[in-house]
Amino acid sequence: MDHLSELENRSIYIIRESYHQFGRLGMLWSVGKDSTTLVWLCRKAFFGRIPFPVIYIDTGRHFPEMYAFRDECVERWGLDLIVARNDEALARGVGPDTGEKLTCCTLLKTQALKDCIAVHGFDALLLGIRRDEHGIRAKERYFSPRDRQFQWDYENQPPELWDQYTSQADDEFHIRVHPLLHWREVDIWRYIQREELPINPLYFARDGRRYRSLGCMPCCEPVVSDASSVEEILEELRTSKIAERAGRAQDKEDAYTMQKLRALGYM
Amino acid sequence: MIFGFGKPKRLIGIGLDGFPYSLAEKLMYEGIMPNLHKLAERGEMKRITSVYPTVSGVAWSAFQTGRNPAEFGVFGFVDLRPDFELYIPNHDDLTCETIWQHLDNAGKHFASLGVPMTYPAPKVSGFMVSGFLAPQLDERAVSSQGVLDQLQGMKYEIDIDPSTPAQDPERFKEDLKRVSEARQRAALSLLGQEQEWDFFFLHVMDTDRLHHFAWHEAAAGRDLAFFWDFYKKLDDFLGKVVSTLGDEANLMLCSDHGFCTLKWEVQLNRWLKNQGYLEYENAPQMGYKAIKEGSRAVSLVPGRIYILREGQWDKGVVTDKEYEPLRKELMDKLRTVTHPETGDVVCKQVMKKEELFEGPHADAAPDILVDPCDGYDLKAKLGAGHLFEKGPRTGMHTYENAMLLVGRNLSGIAAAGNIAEVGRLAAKHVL
Repeated sequence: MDHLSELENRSIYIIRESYHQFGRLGMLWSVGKDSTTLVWLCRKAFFGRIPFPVIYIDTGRHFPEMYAFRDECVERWGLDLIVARNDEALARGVGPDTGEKLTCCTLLKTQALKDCIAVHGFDALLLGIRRDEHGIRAKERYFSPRDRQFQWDYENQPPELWDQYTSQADDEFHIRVHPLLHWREVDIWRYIQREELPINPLYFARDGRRYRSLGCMPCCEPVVSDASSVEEILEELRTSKIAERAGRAQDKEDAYTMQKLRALGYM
Repeated sequence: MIFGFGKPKRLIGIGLDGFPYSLAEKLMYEGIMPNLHKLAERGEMKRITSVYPTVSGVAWSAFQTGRNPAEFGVFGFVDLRPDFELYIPNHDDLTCETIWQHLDNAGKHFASLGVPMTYPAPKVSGFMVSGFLAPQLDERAVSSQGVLDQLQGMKYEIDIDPSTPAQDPERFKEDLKRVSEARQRAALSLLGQEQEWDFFFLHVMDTDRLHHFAWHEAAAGRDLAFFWDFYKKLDDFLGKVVSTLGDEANLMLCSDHGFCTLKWEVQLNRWLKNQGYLEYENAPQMGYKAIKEGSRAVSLVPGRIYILREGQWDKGVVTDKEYEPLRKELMDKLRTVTHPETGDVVCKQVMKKEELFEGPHADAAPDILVDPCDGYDLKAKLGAGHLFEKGPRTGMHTYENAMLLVGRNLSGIAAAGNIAEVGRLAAKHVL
């Protein structure tokens, strides 16, 4: 079996295991390349029709191309879409350009998701994160419990040795499931190429720049690139020394730092 | 070259963040820190002052550059750009050369553990790991991959999570103990290496964290055991350092500011709003961009007041002609602020920037700097509901009452009167 098929098999096994283990399962879909690959794998896992909802967290600040791509996929693949949105915060005008970015992320993403989980009673969520994205994600497990405050105790996790997964947790937790944990960025692009997956046009270069990681418009910076096709992106990745989330890293780092400063009363 | 020449000698330094001279005295009298007592008996121990503005980021920047904030260009943990964008200065923002660069250039064998404002860690030949505000122990927080591997093997941690004390006091105690022990373990392991260090500096942030969140409780005699136990362990560590290095080692202990009980947090932006100097056009929780055009002053922690001058700030309206009368008006009014119940005066000293700061960045310094009376911690929360508030912190920084202790061979460093001079003279000693 080739490398990509091995990755695919393992992911499909985890997706199916999750569906049978948890009463109410959902998946987060940011419409980026990873979570769109996850949608594709879920379709494969259940032979074309995904038997649980896909959740799109709408911060109101996404690129127009993201909304268009989302609606096109929903129609083409018959997805059961739930849009999670913190309408109250949006009505107050919360946004990255009107205050601290961590507050914005917390209200428009985290709180929106918390509310969505509470309303729909999800026991587990599938997410398309990968170990190679960021140092802290290397510590993740395929099945990762979160408490009600979304806290993750990474020093106290089941070990997952020899493909033995702990897919149960106490009632106060929901489980995050990461079927793509073992994929690398380059695997995702090779898989997109092999499966001819539809992909958001923002990933392809326009005027010498392209987005390598998608999020809210004010918080994403395009990288310098001439790669305008999947093949060219793969070639670029072969030689690039720039981290995938470089366009977003500083912002997150500052947000984390500001949280510390606030706790110490310096802000 | 900012540091002088002299006969180079080795130096081992320990920086105890926010460790007051008066507390050191008490701990020695009470018999909690016998090893500190021995060091103080043999060497010289004295009060020194911090720097203005009195926060660790500025104080340790002063230590590592030997300069004042208007020379190295950082005035707080956060600063404001003219367009009201808040930013967090880091090591890359220091515009003066640091002791680390000098040591590197001189080919010295040196180590620096946990000093604030050394993030991102400079890629020097020495063993360096950043302190506060490094987000995590990763390649940006160390001088080389080898350092990272070594520290990860020692389970070294940069700092506790400062949001824990308010949420879970018991976990805070556990975290502080774990982080502190790991820090001491790492330091002893490095000090025990065969090759002697020309300069070794360990910064201990744990003292500051303990004081911020447990000072008042200890001062009031509550939960004293935890406080004393922390210092007994710190003293054991000092004993181990001395036995590792020998009695004749050139050992220096210093702190960057003092500490006292925090009675009230004073929200200076609330005061400015109450007095009609500051207005918001959006919800103030949204940050400094919510400040309305026409506002004349705004504050940043600790006690920094910026007058919004035309041409200097995007929404600045205060003309050159209006500047001095407005500054005088603000200073006069600040001197009269009192707590409504206790009658305590809040501002001990209200100073103009030119009294404190001299250097190429003097223009970026706060126009007014307030040094508060003990007990009244100057905060700057936008949209604060009240002028006087209580938070989870029970200890606050003081400009006075920092400490310096040096071995008898280090009388040159003993001449230092503040933390910047400690850094300058320490560098002179080593280089």
